[in-house]
Amino acid sequence: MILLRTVNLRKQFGDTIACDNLNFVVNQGEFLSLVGSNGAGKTSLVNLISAHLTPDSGQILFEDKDITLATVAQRIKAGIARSFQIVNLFDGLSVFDNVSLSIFSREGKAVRMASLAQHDQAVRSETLEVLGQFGLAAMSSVKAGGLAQGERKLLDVAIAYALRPKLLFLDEPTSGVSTREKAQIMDTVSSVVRAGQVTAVVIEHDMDVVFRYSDRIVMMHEGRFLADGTPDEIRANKDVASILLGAPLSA
Amino acid sequence: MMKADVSRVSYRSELALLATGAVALVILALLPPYIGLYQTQLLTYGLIAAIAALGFNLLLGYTGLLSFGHSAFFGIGAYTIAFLLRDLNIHMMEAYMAIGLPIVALASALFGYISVRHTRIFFGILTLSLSQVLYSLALKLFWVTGGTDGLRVARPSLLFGLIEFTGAGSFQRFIGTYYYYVLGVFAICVVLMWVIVHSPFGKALQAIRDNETRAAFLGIRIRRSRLIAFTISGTFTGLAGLLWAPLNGLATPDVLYWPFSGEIVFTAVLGGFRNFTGPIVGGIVFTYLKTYAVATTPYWQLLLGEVLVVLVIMLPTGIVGTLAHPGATLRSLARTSIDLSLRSIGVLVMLAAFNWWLILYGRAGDLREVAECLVATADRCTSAGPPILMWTGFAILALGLILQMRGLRARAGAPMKSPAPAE
Repeated sequence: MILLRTVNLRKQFGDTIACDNLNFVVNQGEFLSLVGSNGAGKTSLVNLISAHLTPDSGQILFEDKDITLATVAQRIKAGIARSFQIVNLFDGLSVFDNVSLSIFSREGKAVRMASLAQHDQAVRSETLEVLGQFGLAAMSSVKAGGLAQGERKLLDVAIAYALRPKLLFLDEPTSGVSTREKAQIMDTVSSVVRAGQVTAVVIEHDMDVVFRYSDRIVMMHEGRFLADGTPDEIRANKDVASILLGAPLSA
Repeated sequence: MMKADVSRVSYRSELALLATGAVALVILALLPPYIGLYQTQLLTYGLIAAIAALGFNLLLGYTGLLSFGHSAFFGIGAYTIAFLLRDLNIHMMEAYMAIGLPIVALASALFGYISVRHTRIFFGILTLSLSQVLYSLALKLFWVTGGTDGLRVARPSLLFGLIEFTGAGSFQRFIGTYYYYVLGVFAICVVLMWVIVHSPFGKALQAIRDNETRAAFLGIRIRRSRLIAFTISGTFTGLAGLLWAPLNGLATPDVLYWPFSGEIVFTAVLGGFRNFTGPIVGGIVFTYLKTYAVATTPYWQLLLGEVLVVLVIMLPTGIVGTLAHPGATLRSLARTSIDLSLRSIGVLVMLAAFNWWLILYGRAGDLREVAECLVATADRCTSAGPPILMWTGFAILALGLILQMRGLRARAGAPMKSPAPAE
């Protein structure tokens, strides 16, 4: 079943076409990786879908509803959440508050000012549950600004996950961390996402990570889709190999 | 078992805080008989300044917006009382608040609606400009506002007319009673603000302060949240203006002028805007600091400016931040390079010497006399302390500069590292 579909989605920055009439499909329940060299248009595509950018033309359909003109808040309400390439946390708040704020916002409680945030039992329990899933429960009272890079990456994903989205975009969740931490982060993220039956689209450069965790891989090159298939199909694709090795594409 | 313990809501910290607050309140309530009338009056001013700073800090400390226009709300509060008294002959404090608070809230919402569309310097300039429009109006529409003379504010009745202040000794009775009135309002304001900043809304404001983009991607409505914060902030500051006018006895355009906004900013920085109690302490300390600076020298703004310089260089977390984390402050100072430390200390020592002169000779009001004492020991410059301190400071500063120059020269002369030759 198709969860998200874009129809001829286009975005141009000056002379550069970031997304060239893309028809992108995400199926429900899959763990999809979006790969490609720098400037391929991966982040632009995610930015368009998450309302961080406005498309020049085309349509975005989520659960068959047109969300092309929907605001960020409306898309979050519909069930789309994302993390960022550069870790985006609330450094002055505790790890607990970082996640609980997502839940308050999701529940429409972020405007309440006559009750104490710490005393909402339901939000508190759910926050601790999410932190436990991401292995961050022991650090709940630590300020987010004091976390190590790997923990920051996990918290970044946990904040987005706490919104209980149907579709979760993760923009390079393992960038800037050691190889050992990459595996830990991806093990945690993939297990939580799969257990929560959340559809995930991951932008990733590390092909070992991509092949190991993905159900489906979409390769982008210069604003267009170059290949789309299972990890085995992508492995066998000569064009993909050419791009990854820097060789010219086949005619 | 452990999970259950962690997930259970604990009221222990709130109870401890409540107990601390109650003790502080009792101490403040017991003070007047021991400190006398003048100090009681001064402390009342301090509590009012604390209320204004508390409101201001919801914007600066918790939302990350630096307003240079909060004098507007303080002034609106003060002038509202003056108008109600003159035009409607209302003499009751509760009526002033019942009518004045919605007016201040409305003005804050209007200013906020215009200002919160922008952030950083643009926000600051907008708030400054808007407040100066009000200042100009207060100054020029003298047939309405009394111009530079301002409007007189008589002592109102308190507690719905139960307590009146007329006849002999009314001033003394007013100060003694009004202190407790302000203390009560102050306590309510502290509790209200504490609940607000610890509520989900308060957390959302802090999230906006830390990372606006991410907060938007949690579904938090940034502009609306900022507007609400601005309105609450302005209303608190306006309430301070409402309380201040009867104590001062006069509403003048001074409280609408931009330096007064600067004083509110100063108050928050002095106490420390990164913590809840900072602005409260800052408000009280600033009131005393300004009062004694004014009494000490005609160049009191210079003294306050120096205090601000010291704060920014040595204690960026303010009084409360420094007291709460003395280790962090010391570590931060220890990380500073030796030449920079010497230069900072040198400047601070020289400022201290200059202040010494101001206190000794500046009372006469001639800054030239003070300057003359720097270069020559005139007859009137009898004390040897200030010049010794001044030249000591200069020597430390010079040493710092020499070390800095040597460091720069050493770096400039160091050969560039080249790769090791292949064997």
